[in-house]
Amino acid sequence: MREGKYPVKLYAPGTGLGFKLKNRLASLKKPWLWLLLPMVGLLTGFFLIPLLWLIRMSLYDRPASNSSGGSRFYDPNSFTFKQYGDILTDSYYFTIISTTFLQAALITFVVMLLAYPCAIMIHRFSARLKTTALLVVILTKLTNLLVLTYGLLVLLSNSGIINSSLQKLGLIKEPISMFSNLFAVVVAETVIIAPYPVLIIVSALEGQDPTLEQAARGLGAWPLRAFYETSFKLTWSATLGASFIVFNWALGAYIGPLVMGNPDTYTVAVEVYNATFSQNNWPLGAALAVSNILLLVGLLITINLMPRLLKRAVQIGRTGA
Amino acid sequence: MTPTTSRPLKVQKKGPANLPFLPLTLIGLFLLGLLLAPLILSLLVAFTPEQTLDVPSITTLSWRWIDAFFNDPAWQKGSGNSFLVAGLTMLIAVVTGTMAALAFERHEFPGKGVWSLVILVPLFVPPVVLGMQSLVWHQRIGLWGNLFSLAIAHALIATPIAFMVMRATLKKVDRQLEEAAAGLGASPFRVFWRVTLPLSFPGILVSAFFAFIISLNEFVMSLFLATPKTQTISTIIWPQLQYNPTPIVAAASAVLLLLTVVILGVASRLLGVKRLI
Repeated sequence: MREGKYPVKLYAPGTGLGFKLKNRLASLKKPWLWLLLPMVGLLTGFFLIPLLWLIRMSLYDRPASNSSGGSRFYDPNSFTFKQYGDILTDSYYFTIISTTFLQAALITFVVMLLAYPCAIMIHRFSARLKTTALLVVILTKLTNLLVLTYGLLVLLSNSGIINSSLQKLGLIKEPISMFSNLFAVVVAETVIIAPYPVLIIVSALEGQDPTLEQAARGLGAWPLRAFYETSFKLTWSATLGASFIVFNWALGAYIGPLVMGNPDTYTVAVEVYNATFSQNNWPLGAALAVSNILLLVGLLITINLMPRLLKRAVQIGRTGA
Repeated sequence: MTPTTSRPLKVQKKGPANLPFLPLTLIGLFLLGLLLAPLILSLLVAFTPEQTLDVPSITTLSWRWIDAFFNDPAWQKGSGNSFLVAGLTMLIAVVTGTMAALAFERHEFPGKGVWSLVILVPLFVPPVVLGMQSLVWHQRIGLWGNLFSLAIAHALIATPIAFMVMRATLKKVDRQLEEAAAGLGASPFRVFWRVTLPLSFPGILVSAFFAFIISLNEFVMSLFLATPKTQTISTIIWPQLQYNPTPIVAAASAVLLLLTVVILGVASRLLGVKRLI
């Protein structure tokens, strides 16, 4: 019997309209749909739609009479790009944005410089030490940012532990200024952010085959070379991902620049709050928040394009030479 | 003549025995110290007998500020709100996260890889942006000024964590046991209730604890969403920390910190530290 002799499809069951309906009903019964429903609801209703609403609000002007008592926070008849125009033309906001970016780069550099060796150290600890160290890191990650900031205040301020003990020892007369400046901001943000890359890199290192490095050593590689050729190269993508996360957090930094810094260290995030609550200008706050996201998206795109651009440059260099 | 097999293979090893470990360890210990110092200090200052931010010596520890914290009605109200919000967040995050994790671990559907990343997106949005967007939306739908408003915002970051913990937990639950129960005629819900849930109970506890601490310690979103009626411990600490840091703030910090330590300790006992990373 030859197959395909008859137009089987026409007679096959399950092609009629009734079956399609039944099929649709059956798909409604798919358990995964029901199981995902709360998650989809939460993310759509309280993450995606608010984000769109934020963008919408950033495209309006504040209400004309501000004395209405705060019942209306934007003027619905005033569709305008004024907020973005203000941000782009005001040199104050330009400074804020460039500060945010440069500060984030500095924080990322410092954090990764400290976190990578720390992760290697924790990875090589014995089991008990490793557990303790990881608990310290996780604890810092979970602790209230205000608690951390408070501790740093006690540590770094002019009457803080470091200054007062140095003064007691007679090493300094005047307190060293370690507060209300860039240094304090970087320290605070390092404490806040460093747990993330440490945990990511430790778990990447733990996932590696520990005999690889020994094998490289056995084949005659110097320790540093063995480490570079095995552990370093294999965890490179995790390290890159970690630095991206660090940069991401540093771009959104709020409490460090505000409490430990001075107006010169204020970031976009600080201005979002100021615009919204101090100036009571919700549309401007919304526009600044959107700008913060745009900075992030810009960064993401740059990172994705970078390898290709580099390859191009190398190719051009080769053909040129 | 000695048999050649007994001679060990000799490999020329160059250089020192191991990586230069000392500088790495110094940097690593420096970072760990930097992480620990603020925690220990804010804990110690809570026990100062003075009016100012002094670190007490062991002999002069005092409960004065801890007492003041627990007896002040404003802080009591704040603590009550904090715990209510944390409880609500925990409920939302655990139920939502567990259900989604079940869908991902026990069912097949298209685009799984992408969707599992989409769920994690809120974790990478700066808290200020999350706070601002929640503020404008909650104001629009009339949720602003309500404890639910805070809880739902906190759930945005607690749920992805619960989801990840539950996925890892469900991966470890033996599916054959579930299949056996189903084969013996249990309905899917009964299988979940009698087999999956008891076997994944430690994971559920841990994700509940995590959601609780995340909400308790969340600050930036609370700052945007809290109104005078819905102050939490964090939002009461904030203005005092900025303008007038007294030891009572340290007492509040210490209470939060101790709670966090206890909950983290229990969680690490339940699941092991490696699973918490």
